Amino acid sequence: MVAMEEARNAVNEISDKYKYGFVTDIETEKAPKGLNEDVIRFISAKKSEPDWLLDWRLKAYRKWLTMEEPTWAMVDYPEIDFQDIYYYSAPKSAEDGPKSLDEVDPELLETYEKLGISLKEQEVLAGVAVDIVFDSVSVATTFRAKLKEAGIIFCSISEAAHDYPELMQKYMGSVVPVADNFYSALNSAVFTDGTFVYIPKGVRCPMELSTYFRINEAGSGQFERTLIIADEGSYVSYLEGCTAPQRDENQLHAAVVELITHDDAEIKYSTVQNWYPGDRNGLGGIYNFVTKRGACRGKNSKISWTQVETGSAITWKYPSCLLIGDNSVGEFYSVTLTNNYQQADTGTKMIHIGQNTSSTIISKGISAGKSEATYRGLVRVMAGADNARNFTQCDSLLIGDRCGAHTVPYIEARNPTAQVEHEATTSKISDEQLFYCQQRGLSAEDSVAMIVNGFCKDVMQHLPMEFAVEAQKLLGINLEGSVG
Amino acid sequence: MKLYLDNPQIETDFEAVKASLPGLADLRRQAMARFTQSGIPGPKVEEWKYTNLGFLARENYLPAGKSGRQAEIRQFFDQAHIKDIPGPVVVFINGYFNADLSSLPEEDGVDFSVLSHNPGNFHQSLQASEGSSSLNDLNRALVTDGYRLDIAPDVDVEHAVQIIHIATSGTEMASLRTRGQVKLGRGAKAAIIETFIGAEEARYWFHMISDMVLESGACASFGQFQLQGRNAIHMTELHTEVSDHATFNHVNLQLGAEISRTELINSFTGEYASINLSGAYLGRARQSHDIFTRINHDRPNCKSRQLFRGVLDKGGKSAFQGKVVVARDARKTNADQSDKTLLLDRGAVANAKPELLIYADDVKCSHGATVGEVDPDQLFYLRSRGLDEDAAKGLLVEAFVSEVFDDLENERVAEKFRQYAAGWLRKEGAL
Repeated sequence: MVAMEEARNAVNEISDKYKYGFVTDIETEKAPKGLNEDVIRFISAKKSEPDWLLDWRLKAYRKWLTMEEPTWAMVDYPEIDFQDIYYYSAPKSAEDGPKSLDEVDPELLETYEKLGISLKEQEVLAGVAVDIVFDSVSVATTFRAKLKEAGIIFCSISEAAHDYPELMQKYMGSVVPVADNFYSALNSAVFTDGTFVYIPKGVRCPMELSTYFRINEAGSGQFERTLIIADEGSYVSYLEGCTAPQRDENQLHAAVVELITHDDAEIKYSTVQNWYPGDRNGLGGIYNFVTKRGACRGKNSKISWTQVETGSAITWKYPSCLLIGDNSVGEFYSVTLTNNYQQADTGTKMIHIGQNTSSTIISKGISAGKSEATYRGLVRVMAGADNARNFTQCDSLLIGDRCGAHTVPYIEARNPTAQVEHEATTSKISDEQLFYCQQRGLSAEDSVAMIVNGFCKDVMQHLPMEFAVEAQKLLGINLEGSVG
Repeated sequence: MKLYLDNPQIETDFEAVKASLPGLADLRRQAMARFTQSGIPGPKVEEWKYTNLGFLARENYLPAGKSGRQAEIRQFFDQAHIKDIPGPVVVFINGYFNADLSSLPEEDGVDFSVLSHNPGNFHQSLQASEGSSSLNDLNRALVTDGYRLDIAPDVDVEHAVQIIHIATSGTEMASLRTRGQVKLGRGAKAAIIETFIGAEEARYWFHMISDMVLESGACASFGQFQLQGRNAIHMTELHTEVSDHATFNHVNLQLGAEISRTELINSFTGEYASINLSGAYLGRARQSHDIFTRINHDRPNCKSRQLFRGVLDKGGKSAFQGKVVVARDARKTNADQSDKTLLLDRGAVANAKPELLIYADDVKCSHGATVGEVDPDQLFYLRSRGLDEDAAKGLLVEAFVSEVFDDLENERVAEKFRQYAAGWLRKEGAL
């Protein structure tokens, strides 16, 4: 209760300074609109964080104030007023959500139906207030016990700050420095929660880890922070996101993900992102500004990113690998599908620092409607990275004549023994392909979905199986209405 | 950090030259005003990411003097002139037209004029590519001389026109600014070879902007050899507009200069036209070559192809930034781009940024870029046939580069290209 007392005092302090009469009730679930040091103190107090973390946040905030919003990406959106956003709101109580599925947008329900999601799950996803007697609760508990047995730490960032401060202080911000970019600085200042994973030496994580199975996750999506550490010789596969379109009131998302692999360790990180993309006319939708980076610190370590990006109005995301350890491997497999007025600027960075490092980039972009998809990637071979190898392939598929597909690769090589290869193609679905499918009895829409899935096969096969099946369906659904 | 940099000295230079070239005063003043408003692009400007022009804000380059030692000029002329081609030769020395060494075109339908002889006549043509970049405006404001070549419709110019730019050893800390204008009328056909050569030791800033217009059905073949001295700064921009059924072939060779920047900006203004750009850049010790291409596919049914090859030895640095933009309704566009760089030794840096921006669906576009060393398997093959390592490597590098010149129609020009490249490769310490 000491923590509660501290929080109350902190909040009292804020309210004195806040001239618009912010109510000093600890039960308040929202910080006032806007961002200043007091709001950060409020967030920190709410989470009863240790002092070092508050200092860390404040430092990030001060840095953020000096930074400018990046404008180089090929995305176009109205200016964001960072003072017009709530930076903290506790998980919403049952009363705010729709009372039953009848109140939920029928289009959303239709999509759930097509994805084959159970009714109970649908209710949770749509934010319906249900008394959670939901499968995943019991699943989560059993899982946690099993993980604990193996010595794996899998908890929220807030818990980790209390329970494992040494690990947090050692690793947080070590891959994505606070001042790395505008959005990472913002996230560092205001992150509300996230996931912390530590796999001890020599442990192979017995299951795919997913936030989906962590019940205290709800409502922390906006400024999420993920930190995964794979110690020597360990392995973990981590799934993020969910194929089902999620409702979210927050328009701005700025997450930070940091991965660290030590000697002989491997992290496989898979994402399916399907946030609300806005309606057919481009109104609304999530702005997704994510900083994801992994550091292969140890010898023979490996980080593999696989992503299927189908949602969000704006996507700004470059999962990267720092290949520091000798013989380390970085991989990036990506499918980006944009429709209607969506805009995605995504890609990767592979920085080869150690010897014999290798990286593979496979990016498939599909643009339909009036959308724009851009691949932006950097492959840099430092002078000491002898025998570095990179292979990059980015293919774009255009569906309709009002969309755009762009490729902006950067190649920077400073070592003569390096081999860097980049290939890119852009094409449309040929009439012959369509005709072939249709004369075999498929509808035009099914044909397109099938061809697109074939186009993405190289990436899809890197997704965990259950995920891949759903992701395939998802591509078809998101393309609906784009042909004919 | 500021995006653009200032150098107040440049305005003072302008005061000194603005009275020359009567009839162009307004145009130059306006260009200068635009330049001073923006300034010299700094390293944070995306297009200049790989070439830092910070030094231009600190160093002052004064307009060059008109002449130099005759023996030196003669030597450069002999080196650059391809004697096997009997066509006209146009010579510029330190940025000024030289009548003595030149033999002007006399063919019917070929109209040649010199900027300094009749500046007023250049007023209109100098407005081409106006305002496209701050350096383009700087050149327009401080230009000393230039040429215009007009080919009348349906004229097939018999021999290639050679244009030779010489910088003498007296150009230490001098600026040389020239302009070129080429227009091919409907169905005309011409070949131009432009050679840039200069004193080995002098530090000078050569800066040339060329504008080229190809009317429907015209066919131009344009080669550029850059053999500037090893301390030189070499900057060129070539803006080309290609109309219906016209063909533009460009071959570029970058061998000299400490810092070179080659901009090739191309637009299709008609359908069923084609653009082929190819080039080789060879660099070592302190050299930096920056190739910047842009092809605007604004019209349907056009075709473009780019092929660039780089070879970098110890201390050499290169950047290839190629951009293909396919506009919304440019259906049936076919665009292909390839850039390959060989690194021969440590301390060489290769950068590539091949960009595709596509807004139309019925297109076929691709690009490929690679950086690597000489293939050890190929090397092994040649060594197993009895060649020593240097000879084998030399052969492979030569083959790698020569791909660029394969398309050259004029065998004599292609031969000259190969000679220059081979000369560079043989230079001591290359392999």
